Amino acid sequence: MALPAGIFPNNSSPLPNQVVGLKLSQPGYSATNASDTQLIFNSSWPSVASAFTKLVPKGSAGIVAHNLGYPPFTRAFPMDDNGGFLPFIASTQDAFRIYPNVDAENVYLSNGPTTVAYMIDCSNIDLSTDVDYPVLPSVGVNTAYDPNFGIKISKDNKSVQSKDPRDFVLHSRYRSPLIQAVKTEKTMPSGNIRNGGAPNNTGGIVAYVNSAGKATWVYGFIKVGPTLASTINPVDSYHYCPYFSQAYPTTRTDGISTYTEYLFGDTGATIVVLRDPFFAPTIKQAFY
Amino acid sequence: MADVGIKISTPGIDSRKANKSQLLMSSSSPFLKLDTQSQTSFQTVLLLFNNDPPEPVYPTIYSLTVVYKFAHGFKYTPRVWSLFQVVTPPIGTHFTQSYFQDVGVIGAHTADDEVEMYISADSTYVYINVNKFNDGLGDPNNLIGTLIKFTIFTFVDDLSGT
Repeated sequence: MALPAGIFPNNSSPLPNQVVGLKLSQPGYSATNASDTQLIFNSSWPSVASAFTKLVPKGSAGIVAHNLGYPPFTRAFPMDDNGGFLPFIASTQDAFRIYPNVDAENVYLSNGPTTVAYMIDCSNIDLSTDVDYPVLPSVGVNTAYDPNFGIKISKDNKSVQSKDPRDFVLHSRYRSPLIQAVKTEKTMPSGNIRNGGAPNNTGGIVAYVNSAGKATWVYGFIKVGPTLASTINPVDSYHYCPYFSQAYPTTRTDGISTYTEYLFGDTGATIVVLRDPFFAPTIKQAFY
Repeated sequence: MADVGIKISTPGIDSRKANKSQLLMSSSSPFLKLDTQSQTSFQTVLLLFNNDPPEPVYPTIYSLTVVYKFAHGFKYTPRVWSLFQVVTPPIGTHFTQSYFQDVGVIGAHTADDEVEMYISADSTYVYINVNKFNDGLGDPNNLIGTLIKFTIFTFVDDLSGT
């Protein structure tokens, strides 16, 4: 799916590779000039981190304060009564919010008490700020892991000798999905501005094309304006745009070309682009 | 959390004043963790339907089938992310979400029928589920020949909120 005619990718300003921070190279390589595939860890890898997490029990207030001071890209994990992750109930056709509305202070799960429990994970990604990170090369073969060499930082009150990976903020055996880009209306090309002369068709389109040429993890949001604002969609909050929805707002994507349109008095849109972690996947064929 | 640890800010930002989105690394913001030594932490699977999951039998309007699962190796429910691409949609379908995450519609004919695919997890397994919905007025959705590609991240991180 190429972008439709008349829609153009947002302007892009990739950050240069960083020369400050923390790097740990594999044995035999100098950290000062090692390539990313020769590093065990590089603080410049734009890794996804958890800035705020909370377990929200069933029946809790649907508005949860995170107080991060920026609107974070947030995942919610709806849970069943046994603590399992269950985003959809087949018998009732109920689908639960996985990408809740957010603003700089709160996560908005529901208008009243939550009908299921959620674990919310607010990330280090700011939906209001553009960023373009250099695209790291793909990894074809994973390097061997040496448990006696690397870096690890334990969480507060946890032992660095712990064998439980949950006890670590950073551990060089483990890697994160990576942030590739955040595109907002601030870098929207003029050709994407929509000015139909009435609020319903005035706004713009935020668009992104993955230069790697393959489907990646993309998410669209609109920034809520006064016309459509409500208790769980306050002004300047970010509202998730489902894929292929026939209603407004929606995200059109094939994972490579993505666009999200804002109208009806809304004041902006954001596309978040994540990519696979910096190691090779297990590839399988399965049959049903 | 105690005010100790390590922070590395993005260039041009004072690490003492940065918010968490302006930090490349902070010991108070754990990285999401995928195990580089695990065969199940980061998978890409091509699933081909050689058989058709059962249709609902009215007045029951749904039929749920687990079409793929794997043991994640933890004793708790891990966080999972999933990305689905419908490579070959169900034959004769009128609607397909060719790209979705977590929950999506892979086929439908009318407003009275559809096939959903979604991920779930418990303390032992990660599941890929297919649910056929038909309120008695829709058409059957035959999945034989359907090809779905999905990528799953199974994190070591749990759902405790800590």
